[in-house]
Amino acid sequence: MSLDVDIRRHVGEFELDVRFSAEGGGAMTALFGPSGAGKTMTLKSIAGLVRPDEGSIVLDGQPLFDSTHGIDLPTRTRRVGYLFQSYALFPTMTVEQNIACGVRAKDRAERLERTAQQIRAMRLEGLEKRRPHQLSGGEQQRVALARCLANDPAVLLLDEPFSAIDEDLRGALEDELLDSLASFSGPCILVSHDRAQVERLCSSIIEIRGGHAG
Amino acid sequence: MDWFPLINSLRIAALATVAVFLLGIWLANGVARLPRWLKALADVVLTLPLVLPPTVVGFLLLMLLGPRRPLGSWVLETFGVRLTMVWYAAVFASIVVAFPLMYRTARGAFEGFDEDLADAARTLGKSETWIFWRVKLPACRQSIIAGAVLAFARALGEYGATSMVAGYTPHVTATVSTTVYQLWQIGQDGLAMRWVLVNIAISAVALFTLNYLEERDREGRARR
Repeated sequence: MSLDVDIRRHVGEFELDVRFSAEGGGAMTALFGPSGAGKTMTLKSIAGLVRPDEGSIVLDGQPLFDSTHGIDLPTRTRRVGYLFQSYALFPTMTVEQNIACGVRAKDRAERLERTAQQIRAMRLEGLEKRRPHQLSGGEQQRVALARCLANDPAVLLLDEPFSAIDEDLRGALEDELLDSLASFSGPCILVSHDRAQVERLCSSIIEIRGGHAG
Repeated sequence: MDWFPLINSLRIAALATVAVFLLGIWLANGVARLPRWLKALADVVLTLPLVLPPTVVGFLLLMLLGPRRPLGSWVLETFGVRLTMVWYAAVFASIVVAFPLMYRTARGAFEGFDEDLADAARTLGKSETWIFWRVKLPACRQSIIAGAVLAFARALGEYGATSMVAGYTPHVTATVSTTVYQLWQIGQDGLAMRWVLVNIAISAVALFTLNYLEERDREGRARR
């Protein structure tokens, strides 16, 4: 499993020009750089939420985006799991309903089963009926991750997953995150501006500065 | 006391609120997605009835709906239905006058909507329709309900345009507001005062509801 990214995008004065590969198989790839370097824009391009001017994004030989061949798959068919910096949990839904939104199965019994499975895997038992604002930052992160994984993604994108977490809890949550992702075998990209953190968590580090990487 | 004006006012305001609720949400959502210059233009046109004198709104409605005017004559000939000087003419007047309140409240709510929520749903494979009904509307529901209450209160208080397009006919088009004017004109101040009190009571209840909803909305936001 591998993800190959080679894209360019201009927004006003800002120029994004990144080229890198991320391998699957349990190793995380860091996209590391200061804020405003283009990290989130790169993730959004991979997810199809913003459209690069040119280049290609290829997942296991299958193009998600390719400007020379006019390929631009819509976000909902890309199977890209995206953990937002703010977690983006649906505020009016319970933990259970949020996770169920990720399940693709049409059959009701199967949906319930897959939801329950994720709740167990993320140790969210007892919180099923809570709403996002009633959860701690770490719990919100687990719900968001459960919702992503329930969707059976081929790629996982984590945008500053610890920025909403108190500093003294980050170490423990980093370990938790690694545990939770142990079963995920696709490419996983972690965006962060914290060098020590990416060195702890990731096996390869791509540095991005002023929109340029690779 | 004859309660017809109250019943008539309530049914007019209720129907106008339903129409304004749907139109306001639909147009607010559409306008939020327009390019900037078109948005500014659409915004002015849709908000204009808020600042125009009701007589101007009434005049324009008569130009459109009157029995010898384009839309009015077509409806009269095709369906045999008059659009002016009937009780439901006041519904049209109330819709126009109350619309901007619903529209602006809904637009404000949609603009404050966290687009990351929609993006998250897209990455999960959800359609735009699903996102609108299951995420966007629920997230904005308190502001939208508040807008509907405000629109209802405004529709109930409609006088100027209503008196022009529906007139005052006892038991036919009389509303609370036109009845107050009529009673005052013929010197029945005591009776007029009763209707004034009825009107104040209903409007106060609507505004209390509005404040309550806004309070709850603030608390909801603070918790997030």
